[in-house]
Amino acid sequence: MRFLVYRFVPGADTRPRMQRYDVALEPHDRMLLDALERIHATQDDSLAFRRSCREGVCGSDGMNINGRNGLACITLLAGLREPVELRPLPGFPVVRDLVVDMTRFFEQYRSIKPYVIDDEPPPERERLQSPEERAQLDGLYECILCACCSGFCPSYWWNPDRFLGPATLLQALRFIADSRDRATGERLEQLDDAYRLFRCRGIMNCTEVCPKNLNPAHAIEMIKLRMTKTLV
Amino acid sequence: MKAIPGALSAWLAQRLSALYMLLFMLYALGAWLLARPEGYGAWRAWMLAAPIRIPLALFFAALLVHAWVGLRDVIFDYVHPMALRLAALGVVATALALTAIGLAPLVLAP
Repeated sequence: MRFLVYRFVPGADTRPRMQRYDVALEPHDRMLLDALERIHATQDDSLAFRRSCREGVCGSDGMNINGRNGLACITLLAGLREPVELRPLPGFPVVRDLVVDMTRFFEQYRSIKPYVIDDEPPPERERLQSPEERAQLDGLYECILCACCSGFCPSYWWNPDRFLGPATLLQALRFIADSRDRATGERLEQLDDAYRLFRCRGIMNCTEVCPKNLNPAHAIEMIKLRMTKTLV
Repeated sequence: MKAIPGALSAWLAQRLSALYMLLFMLYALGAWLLARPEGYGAWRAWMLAAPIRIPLALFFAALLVHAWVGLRDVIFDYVHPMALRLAALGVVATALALTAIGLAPLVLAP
């Protein structure tokens, strides 16, 4: 199977290039990550990519696969058009080859205070939720922060330093919607900004590529709706 | 009702102006289908008639608001150097203001 892989080492290379690999796959090589590991083991151990859980849970191996962001570990080789073009997540600074710098992404994640805020004294056992309240978090808590959505969002490409991007905004709603959280007002106030939230044009690229089938575009609309409700 | 803060107001203005324009256009299309004004004089009379005049003025106001928020957003997205951004916003504001001045006689005509 033929692959064209983006190669670039900032500082060492003057410009990025696409390197061709022809790989003889083994019968049990079913996912794209298997092929990348085969290249790494048999042809070129200088090729850099991230991986960890190899089952779509850790979110490490997000990359651009034939023009579409996805996780290499849960992308079937059988469905890929050849040559398979692999590039780093668009819009993110490249550290090396397919490895991108996620520093800003996680700083933005930290900025929305991704934890339940409740200054009241803790109850003796736990802060309970009804099944209905818990159900409000479905479709939100499953996000693995792979950044496939943010890396496929033109608004995030143009303003990555100020727009929080779909992944972080989905996480923001996860805590806004949490019945145990007491900081909903401050959270919404923090997001009422021309850049942090309102750069979203609702084109739904994020929803289109989410490997966990979540809907960040809907989450962003829900945040706007909740903001609007605070006015009346 | 609390004061509408920050960016939410612009987003709401864009959504509400779009909604108003849609409703007005549906109404206008319906009215024209039922009784099509023949010729310039009939058009003019229809537009200046009491029941349509204020909704029409509001339509143009909504159009200008909608255009301002939309073009402002495009400039925020793509024009990053501050001097260039202010200049672009100035051009858009001037163009919309001139459009408003151009439309005023239609709405304010005796």
